[in-house]
Amino acid sequence: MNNVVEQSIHNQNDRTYSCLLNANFAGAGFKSEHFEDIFKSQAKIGFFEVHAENYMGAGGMPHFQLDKIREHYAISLHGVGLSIGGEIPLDVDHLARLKALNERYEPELFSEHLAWSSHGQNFYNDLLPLPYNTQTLKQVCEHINQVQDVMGRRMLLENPSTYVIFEQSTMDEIEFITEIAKRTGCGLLLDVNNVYISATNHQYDAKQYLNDFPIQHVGEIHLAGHAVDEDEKGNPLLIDAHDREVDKAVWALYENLIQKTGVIPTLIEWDNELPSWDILKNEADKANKLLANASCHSSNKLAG
Amino acid sequence: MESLNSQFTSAISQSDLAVPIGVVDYQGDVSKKRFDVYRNNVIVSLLEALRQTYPAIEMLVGKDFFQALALTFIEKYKPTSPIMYLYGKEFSQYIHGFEPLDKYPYMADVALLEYNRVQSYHAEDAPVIAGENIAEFGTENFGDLRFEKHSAVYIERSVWPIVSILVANLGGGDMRDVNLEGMEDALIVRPECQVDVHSLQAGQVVFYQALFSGLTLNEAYYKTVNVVMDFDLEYSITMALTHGLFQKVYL
Repeated sequence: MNNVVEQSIHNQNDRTYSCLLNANFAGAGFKSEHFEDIFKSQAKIGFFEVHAENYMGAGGMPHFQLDKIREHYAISLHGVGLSIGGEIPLDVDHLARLKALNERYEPELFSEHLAWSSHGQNFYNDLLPLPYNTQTLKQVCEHINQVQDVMGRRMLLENPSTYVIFEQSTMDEIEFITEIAKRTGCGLLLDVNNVYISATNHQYDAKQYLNDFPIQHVGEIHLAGHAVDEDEKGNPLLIDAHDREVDKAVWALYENLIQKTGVIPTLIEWDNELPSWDILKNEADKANKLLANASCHSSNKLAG
Repeated sequence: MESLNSQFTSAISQSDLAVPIGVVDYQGDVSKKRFDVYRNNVIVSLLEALRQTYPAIEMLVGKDFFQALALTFIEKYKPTSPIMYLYGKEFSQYIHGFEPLDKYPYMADVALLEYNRVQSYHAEDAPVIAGENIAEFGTENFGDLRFEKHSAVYIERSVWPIVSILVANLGGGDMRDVNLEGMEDALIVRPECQVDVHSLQAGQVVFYQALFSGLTLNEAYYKTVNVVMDFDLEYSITMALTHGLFQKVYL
């Protein structure tokens, strides 16, 4: 007979979280380096977004911190490794891990990318681009349906930043994304920095893109900084670096957008060359001011 | 014909390959520089993942050498999972066969220690068995107790002083103070979410591994003293309980 002695352990799965999302305040990407400063300053933050893959270990510090964050803040679970835009079937083990995180932390928001990162046996750890045509549309919609079925919730799909285009494309990005939302019922994550990057890299009008975007499906906005380079011809080549403050041009697009739409949960992303918490919080405060104006001047036109 | 994703990943992995067919700039021209943004993103992110896992190796060989070493590794080994802390498992073995590092035979063992530190950091949470949990069984039963290894605990044997080398490089010490003649077995533990590394005395590895394999305290003790004359049982049990080596104790 085994007489088992185990100390009682906190069971995270027993908890139920209430919805803490307040869209009047911008969110910030959560980084473990900022954990103490966040609590010391009792930061007023709309929500914290985490990359799902960073919490796919079984336990330890990452989950300890995320548990604490979750007790006080709304959470956005942002997948970067599902490869929804890829040719190969979704990794069902990875999808199961996402589902487990969704059940454990009950995030208010859940999103993934219109991109791919896995092929064959390998994972490439970047958001790679895809052509927009009937074949890829069908593939992406099947993958999103599968994600939403397994997760038991609606996902938000993020528009990409791209450096190349494909001759294999037969529709533009707006048509493609609009059709995905229509066919799958998914929501959209509108990354305004990505819009500005792609529009600059491919020489189209970012403002027009935002006017045409199916804004009624948008459940979250991303803002981030980008690096500036140029290609062989000397044409501008912006790179989605997430390593600095949000560019002025992106702030202007954002301000213009939310004046029309009203408040939408907005995130400041900063993943590389990590700043102090104060600097990141300052970026969120800039967004807060614009959100406050937007809520004064416009009623929220988005469907709930 | 290869699928677009196959062409794309091949061109990412081999810089001398042409940009995939149909991948162009907004004027319809092939742009190697634009495609290379993806290639660089992939390589830089994997390099960063290796730097995160192997800070002591980077200190030991220097930043530039580490980058060159890592790039040859990345060329050969891509992640097979989107969970990046699992990436680089083969690095220790790769270093072992990496000729320019032949003069530093301890390097591979230090790399394995670093990889296991990261695995410990992410290991499953479990209760830790302390002295009072043992006391509940009564002294008459001590010899028959069995233990289960805590999920965050790792033991690594080495003929090199791997713990001293790790501390010298990550703890602000000096490699010149490390006696490379000394052998050290390493114990990785994770009290309160922080990973610690300790060196073990003679016999402790045999003793702990015997307990982890399911032997009773008595059986493990006799197995150990059979091979190590000066084994300190009391010290070893105290160390096991203070560092949280077990997640379960049972009769």
